[in-house]
Amino acid sequence: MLYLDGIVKDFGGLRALSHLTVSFEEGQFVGLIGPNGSGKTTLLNCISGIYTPDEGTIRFQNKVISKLKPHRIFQLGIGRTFQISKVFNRLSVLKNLRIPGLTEGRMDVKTIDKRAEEILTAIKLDHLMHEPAASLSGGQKKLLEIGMVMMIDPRFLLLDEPFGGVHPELKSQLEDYLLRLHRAGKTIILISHEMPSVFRICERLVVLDHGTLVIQGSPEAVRTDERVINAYLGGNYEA
Amino acid sequence: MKRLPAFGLLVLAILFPLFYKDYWLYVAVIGLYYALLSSSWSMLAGQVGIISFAHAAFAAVGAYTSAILVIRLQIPIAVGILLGACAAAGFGYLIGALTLRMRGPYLALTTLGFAEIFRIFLTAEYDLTRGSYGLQVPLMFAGNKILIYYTGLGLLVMTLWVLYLILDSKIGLFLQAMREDEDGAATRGVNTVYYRLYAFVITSAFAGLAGGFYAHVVGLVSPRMALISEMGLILAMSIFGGLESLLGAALGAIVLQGLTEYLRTFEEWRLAVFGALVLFTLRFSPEGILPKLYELANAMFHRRSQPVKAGSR
Amino acid sequence: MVIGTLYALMALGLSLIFGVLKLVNFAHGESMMVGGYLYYFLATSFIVHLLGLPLVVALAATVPVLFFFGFILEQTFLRPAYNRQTARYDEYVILVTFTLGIFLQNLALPLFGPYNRQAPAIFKGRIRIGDLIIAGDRLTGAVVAFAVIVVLFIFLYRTYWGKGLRAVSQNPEAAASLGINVPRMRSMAFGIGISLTGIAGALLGQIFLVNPVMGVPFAVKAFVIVVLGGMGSIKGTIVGAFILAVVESFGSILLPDPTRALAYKDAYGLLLLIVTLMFRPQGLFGEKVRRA
Repeated sequence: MLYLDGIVKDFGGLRALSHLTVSFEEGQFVGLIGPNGSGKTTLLNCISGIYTPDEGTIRFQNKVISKLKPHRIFQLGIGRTFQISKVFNRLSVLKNLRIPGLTEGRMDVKTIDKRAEEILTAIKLDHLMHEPAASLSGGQKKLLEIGMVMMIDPRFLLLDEPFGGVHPELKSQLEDYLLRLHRAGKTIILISHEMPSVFRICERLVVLDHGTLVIQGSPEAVRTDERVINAYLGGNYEA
Repeated sequence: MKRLPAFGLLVLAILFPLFYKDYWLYVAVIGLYYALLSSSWSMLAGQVGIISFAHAAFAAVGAYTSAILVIRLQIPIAVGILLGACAAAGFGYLIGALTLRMRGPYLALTTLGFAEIFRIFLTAEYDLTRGSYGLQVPLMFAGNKILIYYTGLGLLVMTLWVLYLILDSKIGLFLQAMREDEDGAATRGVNTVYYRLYAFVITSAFAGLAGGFYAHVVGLVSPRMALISEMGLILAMSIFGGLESLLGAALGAIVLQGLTEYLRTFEEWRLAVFGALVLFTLRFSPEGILPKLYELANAMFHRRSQPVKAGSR
Repeated sequence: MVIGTLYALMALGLSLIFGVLKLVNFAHGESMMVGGYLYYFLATSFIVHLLGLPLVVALAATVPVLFFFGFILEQTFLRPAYNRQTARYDEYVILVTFTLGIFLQNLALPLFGPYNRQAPAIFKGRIRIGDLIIAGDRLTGAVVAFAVIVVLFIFLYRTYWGKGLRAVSQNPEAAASLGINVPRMRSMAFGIGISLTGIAGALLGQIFLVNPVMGVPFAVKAFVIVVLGGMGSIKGTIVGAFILAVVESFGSILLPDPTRALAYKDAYGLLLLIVTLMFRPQGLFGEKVRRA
């Protein structure tokens, strides 16, 4: 349902994405992996509208979204989290959640607050509802980000390093939560360096290197493929 | 928002003309003008996080528009002022659109440039504006200071009321989110382009309103309204009174305007003194001096109404 | 050519401060004014007290004062905000530097009066080079400016401190991990930036006039240059300076001249500034800022 066709993205002299063509079917749980600088975050930025691709088109449910602004893409049902959590620090946790709820346009304040409470309970942050987001730990901010995205019940979730800096107990909780979302029908595209988690929960992997698609397939197939290992230059990733 | 003290201040303000006449009334009216400017500027700077140096220029837009229309087309003053606000809103939209992709210092620089260009325009277009001589403008209510005062007070109350309404609404939340993280806000569905323009249009409309009011109170509009040092005054008043509080900024204006009167003999040092005050505030009390004083007063008030604990004092 | 060198010096301070501290110094014009007055007072008092000393010494004496001035300013106002990592840092520095400018300007006005003063030219008379006649004061201005720029380059590229500054401008965290005292570098950079600007102000003062608002038109030019050439790029600033100098000298030939065009003279620079900021904010050589 999300098709990327010949995407090129340049920054000055650097080509971050090079004629990238890949598609994501609805309901999949995809892991987007590759060494640093391979263009994973750039890809997410292009999909979520923060960057506009220099060449190529991005189609979502037969609608061309390559040139849409980020808020439109969010409203279409593609939610995104960031490698370095982008929460609204000086606003309370509840207000952070209210914002995507309010932009959705169809919910009234009571519904929004109720939904926010449900989500906060699901991610176990409800006791911090009125605290400023700045007082949250790194891992809690990541959860909050996911909560914010869930406010609009998106079809697609783009998660950039959701496990980064999260301590192990929280990590397994997070994995369970994502699996539950997947079972409920959501499509998840996940960038991560946490290979054990990736192999555990993703059903399909897409490997990027230097802005191009190296290989895609099931975790087992990808793990043993020589090209992937070369791309990581002999990195040590155990499943 | 501090309801009770604000209401108390309003009562004081309403009773003001009973005790102070003529000269001090006039000073208060000028203070109201600056309060209008400071509160609208602090909405943009303190709440949305956009620092614009074009605010005084927007006031000048309102003033000159009203002045020229009233003089040339003989329209009623109230209509003139309203049209002045609209003109300023239009310019606000223009600046907002030009600076859509700009952040921080680049945006500030652009607004600075615009303000100066406008001031040069006012000085240069002699046929329209009589250049640096300025235009003589009919006074509202034929100069009746009491009526003028209450109009100004009414405008200020309305402005603060509207701005607070906006801040408490979902728009206010979006603007605050944009201040924290504009890209983050956009990715959560906030139409940042629209709300940026919205912020510019609303705040510059109020600046234009203030300018129009000023024109028909002072009776003279001159390019000096758009001087960067006027901007400095607005800045000083807002920061002193509390950049993140609209009411604070308004009060800051009134306090500093009053201070100006006491400094009459040293008038040429006014901006130097204010400048030093602002630097001090920014360095040691960035949330403003008035809020700090308010907290102190609050603390002392509460301590007095509680039994004295052993060992304190 | 001559004006270009002066412009370059005038804009380099701004560029350096942006490059290392990542902030726009809105008190740029007033820094020039400070330099101008400093030189004026030193030069005129020197003549009275210590006869026989060339005015260049007066100029040189302004340097440590300006450096010290800038250094202290950074320590007092900018450092604390930077350390506290306030989320409002960007807004704060705009407000602080702008207020500083207003303060200095309005301190100078009552202190020195709004009158123009003529700072003594370092070399009087004119020099003839082929068909061109260049006034002595402008020539000295350009020569001194050139010398200062050369010294600056040597400093930035050959000395430890200079390299440190360049490191901090590129990547403060990496610089810190290499043992460079980043906060001190920032103060130094600000001090140097103010010195450069002040010297430019002094030189311009001895060519034109010294008064409390002298910095304003030059500050506009400096902003245009730095934005055109690219904030933080030394190379770009120099190129931008010469572009502006050339455009100005040709511009004055092209325009028909009713009084209005003259009044709008300053507006053209501002317009150029706005247009550049709108369409190519990174200028010719600056870095493009990546988002997210």
